[in-house]
Amino acid sequence: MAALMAALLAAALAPQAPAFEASVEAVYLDVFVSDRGKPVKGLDEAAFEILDNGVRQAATLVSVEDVPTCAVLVFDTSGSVSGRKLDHLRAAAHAFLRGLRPGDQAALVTFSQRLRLRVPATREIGSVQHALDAIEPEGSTALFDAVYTGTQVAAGPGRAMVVLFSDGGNRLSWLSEADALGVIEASDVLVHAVGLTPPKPPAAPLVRGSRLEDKESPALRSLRLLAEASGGRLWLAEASADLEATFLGILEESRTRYLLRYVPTGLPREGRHKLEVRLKGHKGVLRARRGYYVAPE
Amino acid sequence: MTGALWFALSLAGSDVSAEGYRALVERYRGGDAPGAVAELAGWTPAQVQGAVEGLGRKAPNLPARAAAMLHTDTALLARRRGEIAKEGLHLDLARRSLETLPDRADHQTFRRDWLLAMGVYCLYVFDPDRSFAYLREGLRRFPKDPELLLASGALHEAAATLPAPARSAPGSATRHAPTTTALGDTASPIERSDALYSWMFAAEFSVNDLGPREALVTAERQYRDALVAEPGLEGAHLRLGRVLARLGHADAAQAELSWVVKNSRRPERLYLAHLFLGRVQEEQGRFADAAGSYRAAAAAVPSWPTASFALSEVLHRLGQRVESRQALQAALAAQDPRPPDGWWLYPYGPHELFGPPVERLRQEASAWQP
Repeated sequence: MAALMAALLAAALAPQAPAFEASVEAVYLDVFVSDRGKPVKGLDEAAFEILDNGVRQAATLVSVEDVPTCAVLVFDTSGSVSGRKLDHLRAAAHAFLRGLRPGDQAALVTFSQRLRLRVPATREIGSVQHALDAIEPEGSTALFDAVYTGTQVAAGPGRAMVVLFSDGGNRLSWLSEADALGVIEASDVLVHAVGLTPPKPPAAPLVRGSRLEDKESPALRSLRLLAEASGGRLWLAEASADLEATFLGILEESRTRYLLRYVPTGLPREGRHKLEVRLKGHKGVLRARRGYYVAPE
Repeated sequence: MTGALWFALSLAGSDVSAEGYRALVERYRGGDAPGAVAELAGWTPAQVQGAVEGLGRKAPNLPARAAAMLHTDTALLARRRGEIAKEGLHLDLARRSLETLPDRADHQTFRRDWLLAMGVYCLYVFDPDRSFAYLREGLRRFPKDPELLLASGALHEAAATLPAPARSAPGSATRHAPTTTALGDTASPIERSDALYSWMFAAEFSVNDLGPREALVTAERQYRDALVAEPGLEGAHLRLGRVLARLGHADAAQAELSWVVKNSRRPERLYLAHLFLGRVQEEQGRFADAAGSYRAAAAAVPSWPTASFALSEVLHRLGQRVESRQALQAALAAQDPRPPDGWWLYPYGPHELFGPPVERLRQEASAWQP
């Protein structure tokens, strides 16, 4: 059994060929456009302007229907994710997995202070569903380490997505938040982070501008930054019972995103790249990753 | 005889009066610690308090050391059973017994060992209020004690490990917005001392109203004071190195961590020293050196995953994707180490300081007291 698992791990983490090109390193941008909270559909590549380190790039639009998704579920299974909360998380994950299309892949990573690759990326969605039911809560929370692991498991052909759930902040990661942001920057992975709205103290009035106004907790701030660095976002569920709707919302949004592809020209390849992606001739709010990093060879 | 059977027998006709309590203390002093503890563990908190207060009114002449250790061991048992409120009660009663010891030289070692052991224990199980109180009392009485300084430094270091909390009252260690997270490991080195089961780890706490940086500076000072008293105290060198790194003093951090690498023979210390050295090197952009340090850490304790994980990340930075994935694979395959990874236990303090004093305390609990 141990040998089989080791083989599966090795296969899951084996370096993959570039997604679409055999010889040229293309950049893929997973972009979401909304207007007054609703996704904007039907845009073509002419609607987007891309600046890579200030140099305009020519991009083509890839149909998301033609590109399989690799969704890595990265779930906090620390001791606080127990009872009804865990039941709701499982139900949400099952609903998400049922919504994947033929050809899509899924993987499952759980974390406490331990990181567990429960199921490597696979088209056998049933194996992921089966693994969900075996989760037991225990331990602390190594959030940033889990993000790193999720991005590595997600790397491969297709659109790579990490659906990250945590009900609390980082406690025991080896990596720092800055490390995790750097890893996201260096990957093509889109991160959707799911958190729970913290309970309000019963006697605290919400007065705008007062010291009692809700402030974003460090835990939620971390989740938000991790997601936004990739072009994703933080999804807040009011309660664990709302997780299923949240996860389905992520899936629905993924169908309305745009996938832009370009080969960087007119600038050095290695190093940090600051990205600016703008809409041309259309109204709306655009979300895309803010940069990427190419390590020296 | 199994613990369950002892427990059942102890409850059969258990005398929960003041005299019954006295009998348990004498029984502990007489060498039947398991029996006495098992019986007292079955009393409700109200029964315990009633008996203790009843005895107090009768001018007890109670063997204070035995009483302190009876309550201490009962507290440890309560923790293992998940009876946290009972644990707290017995810790408070143990300390109260300690306070009845005459302030004489022949009781100093006992008092010091108890404050150190239970200060370390309370940090490990995340009871920072008691940890702070015990260690502060210990340092008030023994200000140059290197192990007390080490433990207190670790408490301050733990307070600085988490995001900045709201301000608390001075002179206290206060938990903020506690959440419960079970570390859930039953095979830690402390468990081998037959004493501890790590259970709760709250989100944030502050010590004596210090912010994170101030807490680290205090930790640094206490570690340095410990090393003045005992220059060879490896744990102090290790923690001082880590704290200096967190404070941004890379060269000084490297010096301390390199001292541990050169002088320690303990694999778990070498593991952490190499790991922390690697982090310093990584933050200086010396990624190849960091990879070497992480490899050395992994070699020190091959079953612990954090070193392989750290190696994976730095190789990723170096663009060595194949090797990075292999290291991550090794880390993911090693996620159930026994004992637990030293990095996971590091924030919980120098738990190695718990076992020896507790054993001494148990032996001394039977010493005669006039």
